[in-house]
Amino acid sequence: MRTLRQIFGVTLVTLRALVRTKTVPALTLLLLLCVTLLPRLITGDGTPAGAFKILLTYTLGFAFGVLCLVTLIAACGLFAAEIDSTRIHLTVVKPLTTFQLWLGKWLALVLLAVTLLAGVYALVYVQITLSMRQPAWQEQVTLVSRHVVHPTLPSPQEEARRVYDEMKRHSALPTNRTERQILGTLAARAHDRYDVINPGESLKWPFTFAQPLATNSIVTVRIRFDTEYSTRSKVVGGCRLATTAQPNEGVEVELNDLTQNEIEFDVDLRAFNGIAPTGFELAFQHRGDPDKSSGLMVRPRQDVVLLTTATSFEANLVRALIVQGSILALLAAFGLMLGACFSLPVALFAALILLVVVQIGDVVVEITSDEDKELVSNRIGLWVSEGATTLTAHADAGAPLAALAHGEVIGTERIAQSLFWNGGLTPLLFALVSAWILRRRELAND
Amino acid sequence: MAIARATLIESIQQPIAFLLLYSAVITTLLVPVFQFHRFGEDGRLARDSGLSMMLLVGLVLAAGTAGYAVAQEIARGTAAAILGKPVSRITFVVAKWLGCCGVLTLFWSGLLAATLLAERSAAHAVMTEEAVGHLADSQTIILAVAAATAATLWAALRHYLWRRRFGVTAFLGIIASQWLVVGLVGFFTRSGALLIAQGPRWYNPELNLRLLPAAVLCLAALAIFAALATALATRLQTGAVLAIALLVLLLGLTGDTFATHAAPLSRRGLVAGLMPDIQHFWMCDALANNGRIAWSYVASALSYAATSCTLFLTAGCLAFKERDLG
Amino acid sequence: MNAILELHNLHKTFKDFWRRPVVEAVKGLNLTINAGEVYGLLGPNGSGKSTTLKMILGLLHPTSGSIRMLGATPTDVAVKARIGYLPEVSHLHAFLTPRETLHYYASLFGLPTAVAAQRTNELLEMVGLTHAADRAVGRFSKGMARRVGVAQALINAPELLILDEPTSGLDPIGCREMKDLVHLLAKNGVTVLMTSHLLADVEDVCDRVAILDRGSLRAEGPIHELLRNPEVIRFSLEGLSSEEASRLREQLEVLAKRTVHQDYPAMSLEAFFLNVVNSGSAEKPFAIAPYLNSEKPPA
Repeated sequence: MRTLRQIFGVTLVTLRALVRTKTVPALTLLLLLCVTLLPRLITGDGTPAGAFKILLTYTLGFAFGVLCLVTLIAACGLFAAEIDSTRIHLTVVKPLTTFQLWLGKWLALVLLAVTLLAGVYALVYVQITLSMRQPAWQEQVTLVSRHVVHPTLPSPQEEARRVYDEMKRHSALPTNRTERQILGTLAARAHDRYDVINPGESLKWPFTFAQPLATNSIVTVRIRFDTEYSTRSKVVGGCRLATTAQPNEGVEVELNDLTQNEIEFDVDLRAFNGIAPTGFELAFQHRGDPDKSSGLMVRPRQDVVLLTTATSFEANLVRALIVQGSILALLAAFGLMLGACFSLPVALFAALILLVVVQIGDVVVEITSDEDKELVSNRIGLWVSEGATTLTAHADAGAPLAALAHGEVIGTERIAQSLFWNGGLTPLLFALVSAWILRRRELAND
Repeated sequence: MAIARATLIESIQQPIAFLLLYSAVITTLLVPVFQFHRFGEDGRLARDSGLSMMLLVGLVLAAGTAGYAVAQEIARGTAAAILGKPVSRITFVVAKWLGCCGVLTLFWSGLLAATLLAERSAAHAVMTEEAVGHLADSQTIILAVAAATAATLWAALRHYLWRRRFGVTAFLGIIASQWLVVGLVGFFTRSGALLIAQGPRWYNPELNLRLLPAAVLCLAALAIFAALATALATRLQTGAVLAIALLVLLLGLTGDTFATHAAPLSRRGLVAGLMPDIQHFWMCDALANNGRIAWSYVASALSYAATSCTLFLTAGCLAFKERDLG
Repeated sequence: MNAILELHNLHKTFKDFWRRPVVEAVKGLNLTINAGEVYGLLGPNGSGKSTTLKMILGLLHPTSGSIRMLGATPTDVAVKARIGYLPEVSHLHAFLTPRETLHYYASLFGLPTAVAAQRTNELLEMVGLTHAADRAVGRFSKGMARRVGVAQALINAPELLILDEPTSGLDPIGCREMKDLVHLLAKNGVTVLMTSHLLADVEDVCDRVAILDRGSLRAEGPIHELLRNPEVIRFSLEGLSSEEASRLREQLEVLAKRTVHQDYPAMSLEAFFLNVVNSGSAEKPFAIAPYLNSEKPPA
């Protein structure tokens, strides 16, 4: 009880500091402007579906970005400013441990950041709800969140191993690479592999569900085609969804759309005569004119999915809030640790540099081609980027806003992982390091 | 001038000034090392990166220097001690701005040298009897990075042996080291061979001096930001000064979005009129495809900068005039 | 006597960035402070007083030597519940009111809300800040902020009170009240360790003093013993006329066979000032906060 009182006391004073020193009011105003003005400035393709995606990705994303930056900066300042001004002397001579002090400040920051984020989410939800009153929105936008099921295929690693063994049999392995490097490259290629469907040809993809689906539920098929040179081309063909139990009987839908669009259509499972299926087979036949149409390309691991209703849109919003809230908690912990180690300008500098390196690291790893890796200089840069990406792999819970915009449910496992790594373990590590450093630092050595 | 000089020395003594300069210089120098994209034009990425570092990092340095030199001095009471001497408030504000400009000029010069070296070292198309392709001047890069690092180590050594201030030595040392390398590279070709061994010509730095007008424009923009930051710092803390300066940069770069078809006395027109149009000072694209920036243009931009600085400093003096310092 | 604070062979050397010694601020300091006494730590600027205090509080780490405070080391978190500290410059949270400040520090001691509220009210009354209890500390004068500092040092009813320049920034009335407070606290069994440049104040309140110079202990002991001049004996007599005084002086000179000096002792400037200011004023005399006024027998 006493410990809680001590921690709560620190939390309360920290909250007062953030509010009364005008940080929170200024930030609230900025977020309010962002949420109300951005959707008017960025209109996307002008359709309700586009506006819906803008609200969820750009607006929420920008607001989240601003919150991340401000949380990090405020966290850096909380300890650093107190140490620089010697205000901390009156606190550390009191009977509370440096860990308790750190925890109190961290809780205040997390509480504030998550509350502001929740406010942003609430405002965006209100805008969506008000827009849904318009007929155009009701036609084009569906507020759902769905499970995503990918085709049941061998994993990229298994496929890589298969290709590797094949190449080895034919003595076609490159001599200047290790087995690990070759398997890594092959796995990446397998993940992004395109299947080609020429006019007159068809392809099938099997799907397996862990649980049988309700016989009266709706399954949504989503498929995206591309061409060799990423040109816009017509998609003319037939898509058939059948159960594995009765592969010859299925629901057929004619497609007449364009490549690079996400083509979605719903299939009512009542068409399968009361069977509760766990396995499906999706087939597509290319019925384009062989003289005029080019081959269509599909990445089976990315562009073909079945979607089933999971939970409500509102519940999914809350899940996204939890995931992003955990990232804010991680940033708060990181900033507090830097503030405990360095003076304010140096802590801020280090925080921003590390943030930039982590953000760029993902992109660098993604765009580096095999040829670029030949150069020593590029390899050093890649090594740093890969290190940053690996260290922060758990922090990045995988684009919750993109999932929201696509109507995909943010899984419980992802939430648990996010809370564990971002809201639990990593902040705990930062807390222990900060407490140790604060104990060892000579706080009066000015 | 004493106040300006003291501001300059105190500001470059801060660890953050050295960190900003060192990281900006190293980042600029290392850009040509990463061969991902060349935009089809040799050195463009290096040039654009260097100039944007100049502007962006310079802006952060301006806000930080003004915050430290003005806002923190007011908070600490040092400003009151200075104004207790026969120094007017206007003199104080202007002197602080001059000190800030001094810091930025030094920073700018270091980064200018790094940008010139980075562009010289960037991969350029080569077609000779021996080789066809793109060739980067690794020797210059290594020399420049090593020089900056050596300057830092020298500052550390001076601090260790003679207790000289690390910050000042390191800051000035990095700048000097880059210009030294600029001088030295003239003796070598871009493929790393000694020039005199190739022919009669013994010195040819092969630097893209078309960059100079663009860099001067960046310096003028930094002077405007220094004036803005100094004016703001008379009333606000460093964090708020930096946030507003970044916002002004953003609005300044997108100024034509607001000003297009806006009546002069409309709200948009007034905002566009009062906001410094940073697009006047960001002329990277003009250098593409061997383009040049006329010095007459630079002169007119400088007069625009002078007007903006005067406006901001006047506002700052008015804000500071009634400010309680006790 | 029960030792509250013991410093054994305490050394503190400040080092530069390269870990090289730069300044030896405290050299082999040995001090013992007993329970219930008021102990003054004196010395010129740079003598190591503040450094010693900060080592006692755990804000600095000794280079060598040991500190025992209330039976524990300064890094022991539990022992901090029994000490109060008033720094030389009270850097308080500018955006908090005195009431909120005291509540905050009370919460750091884990005091229940009701107890914290009661003590806050009593302390604000004691330091004369009830009228400004809900105004932000950032708008206070130096003296008012100092009073808040004093209050926070006493929120936990400490056994050991450490005061760094306690009368700094206070007007003469405030100084007198501070000294009265120290007296009353000592009477209630609180041990007080204070530093001050105002030697008259130290003389007024301290039982024992130590004088530091350039990091070393130069003199230490009970104040009346240190200040006593055994070469001179003073007799005080009241109600003598000038004639009688002169005759007495002549007789003493004959007896003692040496010159006898005669003068009229003057009151201190502080006493005169307080007489002038307080005459005709209905101000009530300084009263300690009731919760600090428990009778504690000296150890």
